[in-house]
Amino acid sequence: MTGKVKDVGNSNPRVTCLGDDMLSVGVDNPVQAKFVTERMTNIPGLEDIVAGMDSVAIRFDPLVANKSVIEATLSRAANSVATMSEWGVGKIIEIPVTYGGDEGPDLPALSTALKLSVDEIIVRHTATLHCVELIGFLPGFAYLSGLEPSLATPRLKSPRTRVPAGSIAISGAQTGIYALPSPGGWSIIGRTNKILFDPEGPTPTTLEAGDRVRFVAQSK
Amino acid sequence: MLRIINAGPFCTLQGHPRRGQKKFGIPESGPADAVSMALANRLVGSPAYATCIEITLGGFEAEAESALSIALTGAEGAATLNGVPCDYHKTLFLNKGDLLIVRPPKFGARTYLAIGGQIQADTAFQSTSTYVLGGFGGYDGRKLQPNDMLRVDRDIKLTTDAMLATPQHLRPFIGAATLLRTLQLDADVPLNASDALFGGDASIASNSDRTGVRLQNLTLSLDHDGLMRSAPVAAGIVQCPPDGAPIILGPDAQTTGGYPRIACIIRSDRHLIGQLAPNARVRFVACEPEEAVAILKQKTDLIRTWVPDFSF
Repeated sequence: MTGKVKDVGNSNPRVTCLGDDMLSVGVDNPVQAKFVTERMTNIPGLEDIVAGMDSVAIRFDPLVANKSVIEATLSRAANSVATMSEWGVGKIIEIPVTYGGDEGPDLPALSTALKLSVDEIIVRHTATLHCVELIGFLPGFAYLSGLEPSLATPRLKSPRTRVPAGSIAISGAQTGIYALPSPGGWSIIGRTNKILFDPEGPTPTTLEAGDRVRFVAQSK
Repeated sequence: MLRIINAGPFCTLQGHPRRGQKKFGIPESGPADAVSMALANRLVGSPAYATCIEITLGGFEAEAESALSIALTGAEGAATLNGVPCDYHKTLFLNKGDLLIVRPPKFGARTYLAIGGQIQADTAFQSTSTYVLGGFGGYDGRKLQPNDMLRVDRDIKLTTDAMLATPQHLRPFIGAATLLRTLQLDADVPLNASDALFGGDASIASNSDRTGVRLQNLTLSLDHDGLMRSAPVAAGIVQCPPDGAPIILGPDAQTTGGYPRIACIIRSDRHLIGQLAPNARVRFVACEPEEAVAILKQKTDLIRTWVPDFSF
């Protein structure tokens, strides 16, 4: 993600149907997803906006909303140009991580699979600036791009029923942060004690799409 | 005040769906069967989406600590008041010390118990609905358990003027088999890829809950590797994981998912999902978007003849 965002708009935004009360539009990248989300306001009957990795969906009340207006607004927003400079305004947040041990139970297996020492994995994971592409799936769960390519790894064969809050995990080319205890199928490499979801807080999530994250290794 | 003696396997407070919070990864929650909840609330003079008790598969026992007006709707597990069978779809009056029991239903999954005078509940993100995984809303963000005390904002006067009954023609039929009108989606797979979904009956797996209803005895083989970049999902959408067993997403479903979205239950039939109990049969009936909106209008108008503030 970092430095690789296309500097052009979506040439042919395709609006697809996700139900009698839901429409989705394709976007090129999370920058554009955020851009589209911010433009879908003040629309009568609009109930919710959900951004995905490469699409944004709108749920609406068909008896109140005008479907063709929503369709046109979505298409227009997705057609706009989102530039790297708009993306660059996100905060840079440091996340302290205890790697390995009880906090990162999958680190030894990962070391074997990737043919890299545990220390080398930690060095590579902390070396790059990661970017929050999306908060989604579960409250506060963050999907981050910017994983050093040599650390890419498939999902676990069988997901865990319970992953502790604060777990830092990788899957494919992404890092994920579990803000709450939940089921999960990613390889857990460490854990942070930083609070990432607080329903009482002024904003419930510590991270938001567009933020950049640096992981800092902590000794136990 | 109502004291919980037994809450059964899963009993929560639910109110209005939580809207506009998906950007934080927070799902809608709210009633699994919005129609039954609205009908219960109507019988105690409350708004359609007032906070209500959602009882899953019975096992519920509670004692009135003060005079209360209540109503039961939804899945009709045998209910008794002080040991005497009591009616669904009617306003009931409880005196202090009265004991209400709701047993597991033969058909359907969820019974709604409304209490007159507005049940006190935690509001989180503009809704009182309980979201257990997030630990917020409802009663301390969790399912009800023995000795919980449900308080009401206003005392009610027990007069027979307030005795109501749901008109017979508006009582939903909850049986062993359910038809769900469904739109096929081509967002992730070609339109005909999920044709087999409409082939025959599926049954409900026992690991179904408010996040999703899992189907068994129906396996789809999609020409898709089963994994994609996380995409928006919502209640009513049918996902198909690599094992081919579709999942109908419920009110507590995650906000994004990585499995192909193959279909969506029409908005006005989603309340039926909340009554799909383990081993019940379900059949998907193909529907077109325009038809779906017409049905939504018709069904909303019908329910509003009795519950004027109702909307799906």
